[in-house]
Amino acid sequence: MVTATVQPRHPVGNLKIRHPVKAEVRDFSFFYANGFQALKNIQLPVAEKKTTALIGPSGCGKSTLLRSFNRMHDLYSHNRYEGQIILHPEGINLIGPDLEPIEIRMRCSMVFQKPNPFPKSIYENVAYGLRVRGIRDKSLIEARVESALRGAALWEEVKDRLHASGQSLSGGQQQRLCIARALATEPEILLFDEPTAALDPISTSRIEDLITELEKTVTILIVTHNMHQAARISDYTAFMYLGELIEFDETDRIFTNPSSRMTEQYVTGRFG
Amino acid sequence: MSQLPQNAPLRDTESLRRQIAARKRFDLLFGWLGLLLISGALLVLFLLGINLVIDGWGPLWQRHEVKADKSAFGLREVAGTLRRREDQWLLQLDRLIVLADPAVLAPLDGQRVDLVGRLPRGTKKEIETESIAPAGERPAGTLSGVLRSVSTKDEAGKPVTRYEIEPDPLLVDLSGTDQTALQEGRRYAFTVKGRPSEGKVVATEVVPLKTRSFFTSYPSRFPEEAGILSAWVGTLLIMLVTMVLAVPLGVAAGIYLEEYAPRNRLTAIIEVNIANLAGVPSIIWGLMALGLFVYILNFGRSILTAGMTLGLLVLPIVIIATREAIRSIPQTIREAAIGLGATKWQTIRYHILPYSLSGILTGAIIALSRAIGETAPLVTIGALTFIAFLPPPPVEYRVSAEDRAAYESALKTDPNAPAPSPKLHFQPFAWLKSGYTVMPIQLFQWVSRPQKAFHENAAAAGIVLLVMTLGLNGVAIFLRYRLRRSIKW
Repeated sequence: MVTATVQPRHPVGNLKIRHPVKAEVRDFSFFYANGFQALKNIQLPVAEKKTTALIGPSGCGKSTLLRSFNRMHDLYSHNRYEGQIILHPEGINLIGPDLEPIEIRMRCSMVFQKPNPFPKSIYENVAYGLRVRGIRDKSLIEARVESALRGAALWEEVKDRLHASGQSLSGGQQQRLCIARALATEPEILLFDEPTAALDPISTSRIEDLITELEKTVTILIVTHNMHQAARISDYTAFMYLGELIEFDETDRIFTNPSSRMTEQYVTGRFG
Repeated sequence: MSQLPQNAPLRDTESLRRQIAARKRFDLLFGWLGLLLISGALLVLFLLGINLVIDGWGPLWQRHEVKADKSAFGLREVAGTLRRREDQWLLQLDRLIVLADPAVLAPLDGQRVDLVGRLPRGTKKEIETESIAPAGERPAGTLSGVLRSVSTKDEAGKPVTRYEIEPDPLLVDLSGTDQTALQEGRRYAFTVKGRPSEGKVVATEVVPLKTRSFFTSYPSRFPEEAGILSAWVGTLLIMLVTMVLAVPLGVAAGIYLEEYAPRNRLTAIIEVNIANLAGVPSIIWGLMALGLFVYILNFGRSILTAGMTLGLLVLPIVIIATREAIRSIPQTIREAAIGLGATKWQTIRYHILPYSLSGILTGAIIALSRAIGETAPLVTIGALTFIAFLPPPPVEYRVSAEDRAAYESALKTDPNAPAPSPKLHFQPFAWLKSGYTVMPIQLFQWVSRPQKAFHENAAAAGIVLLVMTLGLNGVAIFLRYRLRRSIKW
């Protein structure tokens, strides 16, 4: 464990990316209700239809950053955002006070660490995002449920029991159900908060394959504890430590030739 | 605990074993102690329950007869079964206890006798005897029949012998009555003219009898005729009002406090106070309700007042149960719904409420089973103890009070004024204003009377109240089981 204090500074590495930018984090800080500053002046580009991984030791603020993308922090009062998260192409600020959080959440869907299907049928789980929007057209919902389940590589396994409880599935299937649920509303960004932390290796590899597949159609931001996972599935990687972005670059560079000594120590498993 | 000797090696198996045995001794002791306490408690509970059931079992099944038109028995009315022999009507009286000097009756035991006396009034089962003689010794008297001695116990439990007569059927002359609706084998109250003689009697009026059970009888000054009709109806209606008030309010308050209210000092104070309110003695609630509902709002000593009082009393229980149920839903479920773009209300309506339903319903039913047994606040706000009527039904077919008054004043001038006809009356909320009694108050009223028979009625009412409460709890357990089955966190 490195105990060196980290001075605020601009991240090391390459903030310019080769791909079109879908979202951009600018001068972003986040304060919890108790006054604790979880994120300090973060700068981060998110490439469109690519996978960006956030890595770093526990408590580094990577989940906090991810949850800011769909304003999950608004659920708890007195949390405070500073700076901007710009969503392209419109250039709207996701954390702007005059922007309706519900609109953000419809455009940036979240998949959580622990599979959390609703205790309802598989069908209803996937249809829920459409239902809250007031869509009542049965055939439309059915079509979207099927395409979402296909998109989450779950259709073949559940097509004969769409009305069984979502909680009757195995852990990995539940997580893919949650991905289907998030996909049903055709979001622009999919946010994954350690989606495989609670899963066995086989389920994990299926989710990873799925993410690689999804990348073709949707921008993905993933928080992971597993550096091999980040190396396998992401195009860009951001290394965070104690609320700061230490380094951001293409994944290959981060894992083979990082600019920061701390990044190197982390990815080689010497701390964290 | 035994101490290891200072210099004992830690791996000395022998001393280690001894030491473990000493430590385990307390486990053994506590296990036995617990078993003893539990079995003792169960035994006491069993004895209490058995005692209640033994006392109350009889009255629970007691039945008595009343005239179908609900009027009291007249002086000359006697109850009996109508029988038919060829083309003659017969009046079969019940077996009667013969009230006479036992010294006179004893030699006649088992013989046919002729008896002179007054027929018992109504459904009374005793006949006061003026004279009694073996059959055939002289012209037949009031009744003839076989006299039998019966061994039984008096009120104090001492064995006594009494004499009963199985009366022969009396030929009954019904020519002065409307015979069209009479049915053979049914029981009627016969208004008899004079005494029967030579086995014949003249009846001037015949009114059908209805059987009433403990559950369908009003309270009465005769313990064998008393029942809990007005009590259980009152309890049911008050529970309805309580439920309608406490459940929506309590659930809404619970949802607000859990999901909407900001976490600040004010809500903290409210939370503490709700917990405190749940512990306020119920008689205090009665006192407050007396001031507010009865005197200021002028709701009277009505079902409405009682229901509102009990509703307030159990409101904190419902709120607390709702909050507990909501709190048991993992935060991740809320985040999942919110994360899909649901509003707070959509999350509550489609997730929070359905998933906490079992807890909420359980809480509501537990609250209800607390309210059902409450006595003190209802005494304070004026529950009556003797109610021989039911609250007016929502729809009633009757002559209105105005029509009746108009008819009575018209009668003064015109004796042939047309009688008013009954009409349908819609009065959906009239019952809320009605006086009432409830099970525990009826029970208390019976216990406070000196006669042992009333104490037995009280025990019977106690059994009914207990069954009602256990039934509610059973429903709560069933609901929790059924609704929880599909949800696992």
